[in-house]
Amino acid sequence: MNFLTAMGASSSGMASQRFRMNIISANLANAETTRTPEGGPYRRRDVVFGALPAARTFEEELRSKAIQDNPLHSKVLGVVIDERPPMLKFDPGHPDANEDGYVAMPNINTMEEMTNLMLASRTYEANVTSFNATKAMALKAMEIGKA
Amino acid sequence: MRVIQSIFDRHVDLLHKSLDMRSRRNNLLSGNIANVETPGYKSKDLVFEQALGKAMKADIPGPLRITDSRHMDGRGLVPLEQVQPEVILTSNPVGNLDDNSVDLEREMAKLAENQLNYQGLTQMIGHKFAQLRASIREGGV
Repeated sequence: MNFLTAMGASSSGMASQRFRMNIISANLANAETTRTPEGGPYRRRDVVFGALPAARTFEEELRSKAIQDNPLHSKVLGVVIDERPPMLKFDPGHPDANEDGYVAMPNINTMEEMTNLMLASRTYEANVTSFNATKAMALKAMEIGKA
Repeated sequence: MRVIQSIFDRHVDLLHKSLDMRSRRNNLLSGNIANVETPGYKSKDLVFEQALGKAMKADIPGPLRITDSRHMDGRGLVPLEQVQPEVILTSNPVGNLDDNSVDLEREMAKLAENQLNYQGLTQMIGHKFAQLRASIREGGV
């Protein structure tokens, strides 16, 4: 079914952007977290996207080849930890301060996270638009032959 | 069978083929939009209009006479049923740092254009069927 192919691609885009929004929210929520299970301050996480072909349909499996003009789906390949060093903040009263009075704080730039969040949300909306365009086309196709 | 073939003329075939191509192009454009944020992704497009236009000319007799379906007419034209669309990579003149060539504004414009064209085609094929219906019922309702 042709329209489902486009809808699948659009929804893959939405799913990966939503996942990215989750990660950004986690970054923002932990902007001040100094203790984590792995030890040390929270470290910023980032999402890696990849373009992969969709799972092959039964028909393609039978013909043992993918249709050449099938769209690639957007997939989350993994979550990487940002390697930038923690920011040292002078706060001798903090329970996690070192002997010099410095606390290792997560190096999260709120502006950067907000920009990425907006980007993710706009990309999500673009996918919603293309999904709706496909839906409108499918509905129009069903009107063919209507008296 | 013969009658059916003559009722549905070449234009219905062309509309059918165009609708198919438009929906396949919609698939590709949706894929481009889904991958706006994928590093290294190359945006794609489907080209078919010229090929369809050429295929329509295959109906007009060529320089060589055809007396058998396996004959060639000497022009090398592909009949409508066998036209295959071509997938091309589109370039983005502005370019992104992550090697992604999707231009979101352009893709959205293409998507809208493609959708409008598709809806126009459905209207045309609808009119075609309405005409047939009218003539079958001798103009009656």
